[in-house]
Amino acid sequence: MRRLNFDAVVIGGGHSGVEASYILAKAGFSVALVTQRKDFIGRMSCNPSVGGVGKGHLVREIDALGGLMAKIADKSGIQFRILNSSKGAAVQGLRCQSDRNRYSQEAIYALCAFKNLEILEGEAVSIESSSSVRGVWLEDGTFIKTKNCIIAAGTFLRGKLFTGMSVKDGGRVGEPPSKQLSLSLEKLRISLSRLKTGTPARLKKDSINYEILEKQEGDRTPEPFSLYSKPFPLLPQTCCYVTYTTEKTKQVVNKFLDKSPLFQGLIKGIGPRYCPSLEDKIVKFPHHERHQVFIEPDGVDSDLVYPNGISTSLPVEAQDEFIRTIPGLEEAKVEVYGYAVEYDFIQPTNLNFDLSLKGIDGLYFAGQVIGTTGYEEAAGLGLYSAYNIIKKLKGKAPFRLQRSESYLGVMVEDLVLKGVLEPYRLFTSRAEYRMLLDRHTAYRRLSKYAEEENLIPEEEKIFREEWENSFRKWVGALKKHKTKGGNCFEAVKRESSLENSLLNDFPIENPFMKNYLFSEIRNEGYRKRFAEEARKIEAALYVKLPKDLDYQKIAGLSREMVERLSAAKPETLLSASRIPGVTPAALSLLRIEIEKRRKK
Amino acid sequence: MDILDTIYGEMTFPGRSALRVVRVSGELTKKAVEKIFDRHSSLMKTHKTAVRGKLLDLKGNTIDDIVAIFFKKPNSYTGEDVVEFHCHGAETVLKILSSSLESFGIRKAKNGEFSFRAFINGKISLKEARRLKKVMEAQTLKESSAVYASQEIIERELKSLSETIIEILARWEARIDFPEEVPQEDINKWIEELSPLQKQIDHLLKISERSRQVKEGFKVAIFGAPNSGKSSLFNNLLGRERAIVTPHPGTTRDILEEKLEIDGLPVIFLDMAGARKKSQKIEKAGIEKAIKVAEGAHLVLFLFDGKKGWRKSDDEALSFLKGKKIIKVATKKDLYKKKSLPENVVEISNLSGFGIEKLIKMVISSLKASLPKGELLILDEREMMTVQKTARFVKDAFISIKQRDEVSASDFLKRALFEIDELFKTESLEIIYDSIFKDFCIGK
Ligand SMILES: Cc1cc2nc3c(=O)[nH]c(=O)nc-3n(C[C@H](O)[C@H](O)[C@H](O)COP(=O)(O)OP(=O)(O)OC[C@H]3O[C@@H](n4cnc5c(N)ncnc54)[C@H](O)[C@@H]3O)c2cc1C
Ligand SMILES: Nc1nc2c(ncn2[C@@H]2O[C@H](COP(=O)(O)OP(=O)(O)OP(=O)(O)O)[C@@H](O)[C@H]2O)c(=O)[nH]1
Ligand SMILES: [Mg+2]
Repeated sequence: MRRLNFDAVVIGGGHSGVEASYILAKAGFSVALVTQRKDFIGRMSCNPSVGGVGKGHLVREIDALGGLMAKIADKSGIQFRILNSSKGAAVQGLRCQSDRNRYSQEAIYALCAFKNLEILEGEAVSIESSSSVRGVWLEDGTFIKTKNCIIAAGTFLRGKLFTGMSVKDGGRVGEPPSKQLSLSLEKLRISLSRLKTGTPARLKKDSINYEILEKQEGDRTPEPFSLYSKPFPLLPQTCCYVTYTTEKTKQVVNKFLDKSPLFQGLIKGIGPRYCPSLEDKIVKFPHHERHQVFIEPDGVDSDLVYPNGISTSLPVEAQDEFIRTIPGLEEAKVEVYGYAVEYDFIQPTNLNFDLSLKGIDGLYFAGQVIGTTGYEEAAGLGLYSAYNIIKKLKGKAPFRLQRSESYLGVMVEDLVLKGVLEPYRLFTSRAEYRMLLDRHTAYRRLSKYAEEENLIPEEEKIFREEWENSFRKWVGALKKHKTKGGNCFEAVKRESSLENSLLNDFPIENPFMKNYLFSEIRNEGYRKRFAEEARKIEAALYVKLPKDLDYQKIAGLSREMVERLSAAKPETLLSASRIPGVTPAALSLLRIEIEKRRKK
Repeated sequence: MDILDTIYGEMTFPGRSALRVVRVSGELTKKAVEKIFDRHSSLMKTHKTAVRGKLLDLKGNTIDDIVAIFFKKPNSYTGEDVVEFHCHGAETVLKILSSSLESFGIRKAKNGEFSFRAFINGKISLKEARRLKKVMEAQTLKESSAVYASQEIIERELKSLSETIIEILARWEARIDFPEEVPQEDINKWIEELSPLQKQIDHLLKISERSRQVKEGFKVAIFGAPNSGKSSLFNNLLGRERAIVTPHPGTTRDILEEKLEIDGLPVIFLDMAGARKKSQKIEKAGIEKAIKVAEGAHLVLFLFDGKKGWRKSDDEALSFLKGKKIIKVATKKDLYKKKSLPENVVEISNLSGFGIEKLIKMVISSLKASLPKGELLILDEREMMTVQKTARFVKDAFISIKQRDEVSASDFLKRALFEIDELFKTESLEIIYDSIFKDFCIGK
């Protein structure tokens, strides 16, 4: 028998599990990645694309923290665009179309490069633990000894797939659910609830009439997710197409509503409002004449396309019929039908800030299983939990990011403090300080944490230092160069239209450096102000609440407040203030309590 | 503030009231009562019942015939043991009572501290505590009645402001976070959408400015040459001998300040040293101070001896007060019959009281004219701060949007909203999302 004993075990080879095992392996620890099918590692369950507004920011942060997603997205990208390019840098979002299979292959390839990482194909069925984790049991009876385990089971826990009124067990189309792990978690008195999400049909690429469709190209100078990606882009670039649903589509969908598992109450889990199914959109927005549909390529060599915008759980015959009411799709052949998936998740309020379960030492959760949606969110959380295991293994304090420092910090705090009512997706508006969180500054903000754990290879470190040096050099040059009414830096700050004429004097070749520089100049004032504000607020609110605080003993706190506070166990006044329903009166009492203790 | 101390405080408005109530609250109450109230044993057996008896000093001498009421913990206003002493109005009684209480380690309550304890002990809600605090801070009767109306009005104003902001932000954030699904608009449209906020904010700022002035009180400086009768007028206005009056010029050296309620307005009268150009050394400092004080006042009563008439030196002194609201007052009307005086002079006599009523009327109408128009609302510190900060962030949003920076504008607007959230402990971000997903079909 082989020795099955690892520093950490990751359950689930989705985006979350991939990122987690990558980081742990990169840090030099022995890791086992347990996943049902090796060839499905890093599989994109839904749309073949990465990034977007908010999500794109997250991918950059993952790169700055030494993660994998940005790199493999760059390698498998077949169209790159910056969304919101006409708005301020803070909200510009990088997005790419991906070659679905290539993305997954790159993930597998990256993981296979580590000798200290072992991929175990199989199903994890239970966690052996008391107050701390002892190991993980697989379905075939194998026991893996470990003190640290990340559960990243995505949509698989007791997953159910819905197409029309027929329900099948499954974690994703063509893959079985994970039932026993749910039971095992319940045995540990972890309470699970249900969420749902859905996906559209996949169509045959050559069954679509492209001639009548609007074409959508990528950016002429595509920007990679990772500063380090070279050569870039790697794959030939393609385009998407846009079409719209019609009045006819509405009629067909309405006709089949009595066979919709969503409207007939079969699906109990709550779905994300930002990824509604077509039937949802038609029912909720009856006055909308049409809905946009993006025809996205599934890959360079793939014979499939992904019709983004018509996610559905209507029956097969409804799908066949409504798809063909859409211009360009009149002859469309369906390869795989759309479906909804309903699955178990754990309310993230049950977790500590390091994403470990309250009450069981070493049991971490990450990804869709803690109530998020999206590859990027999943990857970010995987990375975050792995960082915490690294810290734990090295005997250091937990890893924690501030809200003013990263979107990842915003997401984790939102999840752990507030919990979720629907699958959580990151928006830039969730951050109080998004002016501080644009993509250009991600490395400056976060790479120090990666370097602390040796997660950035030497050549990348050198490259990044040169990049920042060159940035500083240009800033210096602009500030030195005199022009009408001051220096060039000030001139551009006042008048952004000067940017291009100025470039004649400053031959900045790298277009991304140009963007970085101009974004910095334009936002300097606000940045300074917001950074100062953030610093002050955080200093005031990061007043620690005593660990042994017994809320029941605080006079004046209502029972409801006692319950909420005892459940959330906030670390600081700030965290306490962010717990929904906690009143200012309760906060004043906490403040008084801290004062009282200080005096004693 | 240490909430475990026992505290005392006067519950009546300082002024000319006949009965004065002193409240004591906390652990030490019982111990103190035993020493200073002769019928303490019957008092402590009752609850909420008036017991008549004698107030004693620490040596056991009777100092007043009073009524005391005991409120047993936790059924008192503060939730602690409370005794209320209803004494006769004499200042000396209060002084002796205070010093007796303090000898037991009972300290004077800070503003709003009784309500604060009531709040801590779960007797009143935060909202109620804040309102009571305002009533107690209110210096005049009119103010305190305004407080009750204010709370609701100000909350309504702020809520309506936050609704407007939420409406704007829902559109803005939808455009920002969902560029592929939500129709994009020209920057001019953003500017147009923001503009309704200006009026709301201006209105709130006016309310808060009015409130600030009323709370702070209006300063009325009594200014003029030495011996012109400033201190006499000051005493006349207060109705008691507060300042020293002598026939010698240069009597008053320091600045005397007294607050009064006249016609519902809190007015602070200031008496000071006489302003004379050529003077002895000692006075000089006093006079410079006097000019400074007069400069900081809302209104200056410029006194001169009516018998001597308006003099050149008065003109010179007046020149120091350019731009101030001034009422010229000729004193000692009892000493002369007719005199050629400058225009717009009020003639008074501090001896006979002639003209004083008229002067007071003029003071009040002049002060009221300087108050921003609108109903009288009293904001507490927190509300005032919320209004001010919110206004500042909204202003920043206007600046940003004019610089075509929709992201900063939107962030400033969000901050404005969070300020109001902070006050009401609401979570508007979730409301914004609700509104976005209700109004826009998000999701590809
Ligand atoms: C039908 C569908 C529609 C979706 N629609 C959207 C959408 O519209 N928008 C959006 O942003 N996101 C959507 N997603 C979500 C997106 O796919 C997920 O957010 C993302 O994949 C989550 O990553 P993850 O790593 O948490 O889990 P997953 O990618 O689901 O990966 C889970 C992995 O865990 C493995 N696993 C599970 N249980 C076990 C076990 N017991 N033992 C071993 N291995 C196990 C599985 O084999 C799988 O490899 C959709 C997903 C599905 C399935
Ligand atoms: N007859 C008469 N005497 C007055 C009147 N007002 C003040 N006096 C007298 O004038 C003298 C000075 O009065 P004060 O009130 O002390 O004058 P002041 O302006 O305060 O003087 P300084 O403090 O020295 O600047 C006193 O003797 C008063 O009694 C008045 O209206 N009529
Ligand atoms: Mg005087």
